[in-house]
Amino acid sequence: MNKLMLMTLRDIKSNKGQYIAIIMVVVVGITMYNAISMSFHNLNSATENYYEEYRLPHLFVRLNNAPESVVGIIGRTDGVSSAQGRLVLDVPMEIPGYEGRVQARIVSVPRSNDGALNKLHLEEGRYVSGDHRDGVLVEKLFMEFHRLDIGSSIYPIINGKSVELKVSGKAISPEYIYAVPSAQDMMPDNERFTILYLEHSFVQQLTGYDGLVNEVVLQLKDEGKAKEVKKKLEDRLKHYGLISVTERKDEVSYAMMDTELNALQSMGFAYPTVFLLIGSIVIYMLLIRLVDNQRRQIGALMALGFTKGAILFHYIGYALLVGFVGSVLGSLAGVRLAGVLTRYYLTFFNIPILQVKTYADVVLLGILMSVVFCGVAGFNAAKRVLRILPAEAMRPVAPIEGKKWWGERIFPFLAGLRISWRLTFRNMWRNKKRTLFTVASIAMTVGLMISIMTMLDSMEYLFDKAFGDALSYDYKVAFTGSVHRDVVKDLGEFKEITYAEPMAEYPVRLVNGWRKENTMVTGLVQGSRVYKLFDIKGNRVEVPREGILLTEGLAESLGVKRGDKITIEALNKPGIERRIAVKGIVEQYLGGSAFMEVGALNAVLGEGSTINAALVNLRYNGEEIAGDIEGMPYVQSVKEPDDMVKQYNEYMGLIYAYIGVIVVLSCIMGFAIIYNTTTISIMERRRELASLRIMGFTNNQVAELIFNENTAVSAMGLIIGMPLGMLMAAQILKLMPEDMISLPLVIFPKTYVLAAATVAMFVILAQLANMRRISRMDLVEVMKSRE
Amino acid sequence: MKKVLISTRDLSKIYHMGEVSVEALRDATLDIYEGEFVVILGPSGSGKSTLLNIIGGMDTPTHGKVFFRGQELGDLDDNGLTRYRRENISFIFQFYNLLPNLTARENVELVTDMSSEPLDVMEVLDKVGLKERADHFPSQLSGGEQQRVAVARAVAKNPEVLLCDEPTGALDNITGRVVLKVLKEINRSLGKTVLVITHNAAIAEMADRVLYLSSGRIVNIRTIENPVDPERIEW
Repeated sequence: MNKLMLMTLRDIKSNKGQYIAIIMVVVVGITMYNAISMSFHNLNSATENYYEEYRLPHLFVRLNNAPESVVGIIGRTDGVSSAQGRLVLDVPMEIPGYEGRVQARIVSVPRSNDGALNKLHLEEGRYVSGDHRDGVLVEKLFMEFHRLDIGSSIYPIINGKSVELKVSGKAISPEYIYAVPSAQDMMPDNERFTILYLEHSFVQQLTGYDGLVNEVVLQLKDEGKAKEVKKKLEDRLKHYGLISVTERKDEVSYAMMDTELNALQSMGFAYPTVFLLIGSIVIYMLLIRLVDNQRRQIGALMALGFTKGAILFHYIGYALLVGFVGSVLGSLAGVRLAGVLTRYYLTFFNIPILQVKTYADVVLLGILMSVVFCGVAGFNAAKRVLRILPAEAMRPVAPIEGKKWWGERIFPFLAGLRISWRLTFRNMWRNKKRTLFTVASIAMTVGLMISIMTMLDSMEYLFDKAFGDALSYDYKVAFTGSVHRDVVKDLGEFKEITYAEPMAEYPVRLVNGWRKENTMVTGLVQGSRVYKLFDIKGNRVEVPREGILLTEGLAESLGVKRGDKITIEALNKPGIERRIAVKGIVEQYLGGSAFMEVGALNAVLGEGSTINAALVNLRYNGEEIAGDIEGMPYVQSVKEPDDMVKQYNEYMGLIYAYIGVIVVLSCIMGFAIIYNTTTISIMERRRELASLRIMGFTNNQVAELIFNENTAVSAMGLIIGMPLGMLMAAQILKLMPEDMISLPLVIFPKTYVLAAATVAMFVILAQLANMRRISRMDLVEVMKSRE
Repeated sequence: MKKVLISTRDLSKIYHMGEVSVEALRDATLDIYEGEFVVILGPSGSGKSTLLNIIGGMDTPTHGKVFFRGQELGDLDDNGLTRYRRENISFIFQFYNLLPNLTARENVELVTDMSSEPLDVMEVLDKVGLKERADHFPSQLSGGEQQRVAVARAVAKNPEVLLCDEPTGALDNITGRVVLKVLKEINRSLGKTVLVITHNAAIAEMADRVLYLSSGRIVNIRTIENPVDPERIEW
């Protein structure tokens, strides 16, 4: 073996701990990069293939019941390659053994699955056919949640009648990768919402909509022409009771998946880059020390005739080796983690053809990135070799210039500190660059940790806010459609219900110039006792007699402020369009993002005196009567606020997994950095420390010097890292799917305390891990050697 | 009657370097009295530093015993040895080993802060002739001055013994003489026991006693009736 290479390996061997620590940082970065990038690729290609193979429609036309002939009209429209009519309706449903009702969406499907749009993927069982008209396919995750099997009976309530259907198969559709009833239900709820696929003519028969359809889905010859075709259809179908024409990108499931993928993609680069950056800083510091330490050896090598290039490369070699080994290990770990993450996704998204693949290009790019990062750091550190003259190098290094630093001149108290502390600060000042780098890398690590833990804080804040002050109802009762306000009075007949107030929710589009947002407007009564709104400062706000209140996030996306006027369009009633004034900005918590007085809302949307939900309070310690309420006519579902939390937490499981991964990885990195700094400062000051030991300083007193310095540097890193974490958190929040939820940026003091405690723990651990270096220092040897 | 301060009995030190064993010190038996100025003379590799390091509690003998005021050093654990060094011993090295980040005064304060009966820092610096340069950093001082700071630092904690390993080894004869003068003065006025290791025979003339070492053995001990003033030593 090349002798220089041999030297490298032996050097590394004798400083194992340090190199392991650095390699860990690289491993962490590359693991993360591979895991996230590959889950992205897995999911991305899986969804794309799925959409393609299972023929996800390009356009969705929604109509008030229209004659089936409309399908032909749409199919013959220029640019349309195939069209398929269907009936889609939401009904309540009962399942044996489950208390309460669930929401079932009946979607009619053609007799043959082959060649159908939104082709179903059968996990189990058989497709519906003419011969098995009572067979129903049920959405997979729902079946799994309720442990339904093929042959189980379910009881949707159609037109007020309970109909028994037998489950014939477990299916998933590309239209419901993310199975939510509407954009307002942010999280899939596998307990209370499902999709039932039934043969088309059977649905017509069941519902009494003979010869009618209420949706037409279609594929285009050229997807790029979606806008034009959409326009054409909107004109053409005016007289067919058109509700809306939506592109697939505006469909909930597609949009959610898209946001998720975008977030993954940006995370896939942002985090690993930070990790690699920190890793290269650590390598840089290590190599600087190495080169300085080995000056004489370098001089000797030069005297022996090694070229500067060869020596330079020898030192860069350390960095390249670290980069290479770290990235190879990281790739191995990353590939495995990608498998875990990707599979984890499957519990949230219905994708049948997900393949967990290893992407050679991702791996290679990771290794390349790592080697480049480390190589650049290595070169920058090793280039000082070029300045060394052999004869000079073999003489001892010029004594370090001692200086008081400006801090002592400006702040006299610093000069009055105990000597060990004075020494600490002067040392930090003397090694400005290293101090700076260490502070920076600790700050970044702390920032990383805080930024990610903030997510938890924000959610906790949101829940507290929502359930502490804002939402105090026990049940939200949703009606099957618009009902008269007086229905609320019927609820009052339950003796367990002490209070009930009407509420309405309608899907609307809010428009300000070119900016549009689809959202749900919540209609509340003035002086609501159970649904309170607050402004940004925390003062209670009432829904105005006229005009609308928007949450901060929504107002920002629309680019409006208090007093501006926006256009509101009813999404369920085409043609209704009104100008309306923004009367205030409110805080967001769970639930809606636009609010009006219920009467005003009805007036704007031409709904008369109707509502579609009610909020009720129960007698304290009262019985559970959700089931009884659900038995009422017109009642579709009864939800408790807790359900929302449950749903949230379930969805957040995905985010928690990321938070967990990132926190663990940043901890590893944080420790590696502090451990390295500790080791470097001990090695660099062996002589100094040894003379102190000889003078009679105890091991602990000597260790204290090192400890002080670490503490000071870490404290600085912490101080800078905290606001940095806040900035980073703000960036991450921007990456979050914003129509899902706009999280407020909240950091609780406990998060700072936790971050500080973690760093403190690392300082102590690094110190303990290095105590041996101090206590085992061979005093005689150290003093004899001229450094 | 002079009191014995340090005594060694049959000290041997064998260093194992891989497969080779080197006997750095063989059967060294010796008494050093309070207030003595002893020079240990010998070529490099003769075991001078080993002897000094064992006396100073920095190294342990392979065989034999060292007593300080009757206390056997071998009975002390690491902490005991540290305390022993802190309270009784001061080292002075060829390379001054000052802390570059501390001024002369602070270097001295470093040890006075931890000793029970320290001498006054400025008085000690005055004694080594560096009162005026107390606030200079080591890099702003000449080699001789740095060594005098090292001496001041060694003395200030008020130890019983100064162990000096080639204190003038890195200095030219003029500055070297100044350092020796300071050592002698401290020996005389403060009554500190001083052991100086050197391979420079000329220096031996200022001692009360001279020990000759060769290949790890004490080959000769000479008592000097009228030690020469360091001023008059030439090398």
